Amino acid sequence: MSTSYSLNINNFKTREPLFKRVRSYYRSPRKSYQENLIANQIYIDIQRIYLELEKINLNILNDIKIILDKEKDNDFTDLNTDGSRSYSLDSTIVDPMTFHVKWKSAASYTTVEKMDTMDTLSSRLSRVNYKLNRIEKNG
Amino acid sequence: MSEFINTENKTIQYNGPVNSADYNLKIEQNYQDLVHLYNRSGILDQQLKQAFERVLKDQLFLSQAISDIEDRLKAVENSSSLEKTVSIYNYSQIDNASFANTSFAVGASNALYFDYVHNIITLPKIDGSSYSKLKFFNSFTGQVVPDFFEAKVDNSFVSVDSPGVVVDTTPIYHSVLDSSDKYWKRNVILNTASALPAQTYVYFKIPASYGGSDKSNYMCMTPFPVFGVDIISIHYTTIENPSMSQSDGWTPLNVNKTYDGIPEAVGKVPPGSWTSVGSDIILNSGPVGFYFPPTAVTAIRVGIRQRNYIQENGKYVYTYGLSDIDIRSNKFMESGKAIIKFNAPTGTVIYDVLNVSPKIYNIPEELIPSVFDYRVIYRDSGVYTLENPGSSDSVWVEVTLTQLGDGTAPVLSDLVIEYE
Repeated sequence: MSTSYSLNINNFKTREPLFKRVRSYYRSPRKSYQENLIANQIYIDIQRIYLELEKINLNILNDIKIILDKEKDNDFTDLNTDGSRSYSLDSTIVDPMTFHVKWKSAASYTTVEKMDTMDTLSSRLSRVNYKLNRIEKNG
Repeated sequence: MSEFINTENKTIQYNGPVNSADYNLKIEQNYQDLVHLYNRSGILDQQLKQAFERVLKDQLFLSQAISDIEDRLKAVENSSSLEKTVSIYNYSQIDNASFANTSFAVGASNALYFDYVHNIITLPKIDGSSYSKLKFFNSFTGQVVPDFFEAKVDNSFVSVDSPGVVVDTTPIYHSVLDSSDKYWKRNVILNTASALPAQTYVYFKIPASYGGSDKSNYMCMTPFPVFGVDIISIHYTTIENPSMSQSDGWTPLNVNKTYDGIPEAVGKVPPGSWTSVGSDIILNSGPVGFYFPPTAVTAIRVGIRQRNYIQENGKYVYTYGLSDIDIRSNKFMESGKAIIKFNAPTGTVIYDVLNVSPKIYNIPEELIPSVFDYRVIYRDSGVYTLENPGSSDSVWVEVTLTQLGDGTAPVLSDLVIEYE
């Protein structure tokens, strides 16, 4: 992999190219091995950048998949026994993330391991809307 | 991006640079460009992580907000000035498993089917004989859009979405693709704000039978943006080779005008048929699904409306569309059962169940007794019984649904228990 290091301030990853600058002084044709090395390093660097962009693209698609769950893909989300679907925060699909949340009514912290998909949230909201509508109209 | 490119496009003569300064400048420019691209990819990666973290945390608290509203609604139901009531809030209340080895046992093939997304409990579904009329799959490439798929938009309404307007759209067939990044959107872009909404009909042709039943009995869709678009009407036609225009002779999907004028049925019956025009429009619709009598539908027409605009870069953008739509022929068993658990609110008990009201909106009210039956089950000293022991923390209602004579599968949207 390319050389990586982190800036302490914002933890942005900055990578250096494999390709190094070599200053050249010449009056005659350059040596072919030096030219070929430079060309190879640039080729490898471009490949790495291409793969990085592919990885970012894939991460975006995976994030969308688990949140929206339109595909109902069991590799990404879990079907619960009540028919709802959720995704695990500690999975291989997304970067592992753990939330320890203290809800206002709880005495202690809760570890949130699963999140509702958008479909499940939409379904719950529809049900709440329907019940509110019924209660409002019927008194 | 071009302003960030350092490498100059220079034509070199004499088989390459003859001056080392030129050569070194080119190498330096190449290096700077590579450093820049590496940093850009690193920053993109980081921005993605930050955006995802924001979405996760927003979603976490949105979910909690819905839970809070559910709890408050339960409390309101229970403190009604009329009767105390409990109802279905989660399908984990379907508790067939607890009765597995009792006289109330519900066999797997006899258990009612439930669809969490569209809030539907209905007859036991026979998956092998149920299929979509719009979504097609093959075993090699997954989902495909066949060449006979036809859909079109008719924007002849008095609205901002009219012929000649600037539109930014994705293909309509994206609405039938089960891919998270595929959805049908139609952005209508105006230079000035308008008091009119954006409104359109979207037509979907149902391909002629390719095997199996030529009839459909279920339609579902999810508007885009969800909870941001009104569904004003749903119509179908049965004529052969429909032209997908106003002349096809369209019939409201709610052909019998069921629950005409009953406000609580809005969203539970297909809109576009009630006597008071517009009173059944589903405002800010979420995902919806409707079962209807098996019908040889050849095309379907959905009216959608966007009343709001978003100001983007000085333009006024009306966004609407569909992220999912399907027309299906679903096959069901003729009847089925489910046992649904209802807990008394914390700190209270249920002394007696006074009434059980099914909320079924796709069957006329007078026919509900022929499709719905129930028994109240109590638990007395660990034994399930039909005899009321006097006070209970929980009661169970055994629901039996039966297919209507015309083949309609009744949809149980909710079950309201009045108790004391």
